[in-house]
Amino acid sequence: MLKSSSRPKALLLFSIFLSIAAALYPHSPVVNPEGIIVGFDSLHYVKAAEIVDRDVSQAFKVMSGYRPIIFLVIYGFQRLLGSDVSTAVNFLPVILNPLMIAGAFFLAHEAFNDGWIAGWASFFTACGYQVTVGMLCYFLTNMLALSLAFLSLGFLFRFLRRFCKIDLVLSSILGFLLFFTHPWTFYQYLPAVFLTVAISWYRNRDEFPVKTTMFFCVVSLMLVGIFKFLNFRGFSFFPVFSFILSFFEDISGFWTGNTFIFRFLYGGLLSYMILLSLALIGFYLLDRKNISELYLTVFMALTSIFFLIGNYTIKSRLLYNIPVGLFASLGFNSIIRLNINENFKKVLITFVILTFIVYLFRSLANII
Amino acid sequence: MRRLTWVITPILALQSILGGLQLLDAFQVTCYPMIHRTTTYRVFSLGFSLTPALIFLMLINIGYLLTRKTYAAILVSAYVSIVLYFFKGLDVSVAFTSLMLVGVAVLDSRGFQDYFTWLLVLLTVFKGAVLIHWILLPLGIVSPLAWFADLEISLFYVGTKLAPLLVLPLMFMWILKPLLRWGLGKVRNYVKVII
Repeated sequence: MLKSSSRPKALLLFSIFLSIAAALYPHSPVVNPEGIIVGFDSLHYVKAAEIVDRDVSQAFKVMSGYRPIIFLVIYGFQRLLGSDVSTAVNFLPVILNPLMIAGAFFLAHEAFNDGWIAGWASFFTACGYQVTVGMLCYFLTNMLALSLAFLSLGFLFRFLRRFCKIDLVLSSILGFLLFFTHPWTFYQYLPAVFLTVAISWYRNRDEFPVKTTMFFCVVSLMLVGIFKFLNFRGFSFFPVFSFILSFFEDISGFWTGNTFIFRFLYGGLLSYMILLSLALIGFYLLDRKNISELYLTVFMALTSIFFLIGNYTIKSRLLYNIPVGLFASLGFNSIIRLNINENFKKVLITFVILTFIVYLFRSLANII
Repeated sequence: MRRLTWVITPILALQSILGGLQLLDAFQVTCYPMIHRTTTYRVFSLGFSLTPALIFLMLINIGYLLTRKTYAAILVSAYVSIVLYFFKGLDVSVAFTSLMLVGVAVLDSRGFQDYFTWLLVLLTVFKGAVLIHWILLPLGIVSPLAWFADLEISLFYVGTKLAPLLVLPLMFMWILKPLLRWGLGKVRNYVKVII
């Protein structure tokens, strides 16, 4: 029998096991007898990674130089496996999925200082749309970016709890890597950090080390700028920003876009009603007194503005980047901690676990 | 009476699940499931009618309600059933009346927790059967549970119609929550003044 303090970690291990199984499931010869390539973007990654394989410095140039980190990861993974590029790309989710799940666990643990919320966050992330849609479209870079964003925020929240500067340095390094992994995810997550720090400063919280936090945020941003200026051609904030702006549409198309992303885009996998309902409850329960909860509220507020004016591509990617597993975990924990019948609680937990695993494997069986 | 309630609750839970499925089937609800990467158009169909099973369960339910002397509710249900039969046919009439009678029985017995527990037990058994299918699939074992897996896909995609609505409060909860609290506070104050 496991100790009660070890159970959330057991849930994390189970989630990691599920995420590895999820990475391998579509490659099973029975599920995929014709050997169809998993993931829409897989071939693009293979082509670009083959260029990097011939000359590793090309990692900073392929795919417009926007995402060098993922190609370095593919390069390293390929060397580790001793395989060809195609195999390395096909099986990269074996490491990306668990990394994202571990990141979600760490972020939830540091944000709420609660093992169960962290454990369930890892489970809901492993069986949520970030894995299924990620596998369908092969959002390798986005998945790595989410892992880095979760870990970076986790270290930031840990710093704000313990005031150990190493945590802030790690948070900055991971944030720095995030920029060179997936700038769009970086732009979705970073402004909320600044705004949260500013709101906390405005509230005049004595215990909040606003100067140190701001200092590291600004320094890491400056490093990003310098590194980018020295190493990358044709890649700056403004082209990326104007590229994003080109996707904006007028609000009259809001409902059409909204319906499209849930019914048709990504095979309707984003329309996971139970996950969204739990996330809704979780988000409702956030209070803004705690700095991490304030961050999550500000993050959602900023995301919602772009969700309102962006076209369906922007909307879907904003939705994909939300730490929905964390919100769902908050909601689910609030339900199972209610003073309700123990039998009902046990059945509810079993039902939710089975429902999520069914969603995961059913989706994976149909992405090929 | 407690023993009778214990027996009737799983029947009520089963009746509500079958009634719900029958309604989806009778109204030919459409959905767009993704099957092997292709988004397909599908009309929700069980392939058979649940009406005989529902009539059987309804009779048990009516027997229970008669022991509880809820004659008015039975009469109203019978009236609705007849009206629906003329307008929408037997399947819709039986399914809708079943759900109505379940509501009456649950309200009358006040066994909400038992009812929802049994509802979840049955749904868990269903999900368990579907999971077995998806686990056996890569092992190359032909599972007899494929029909349940297919039904689960349809049910999932029928639910996707509500997702665009659900995401709005999720995205804008940061502004809805203060408004809700303000609104609820106003209502509470108003009620206090009236009382």
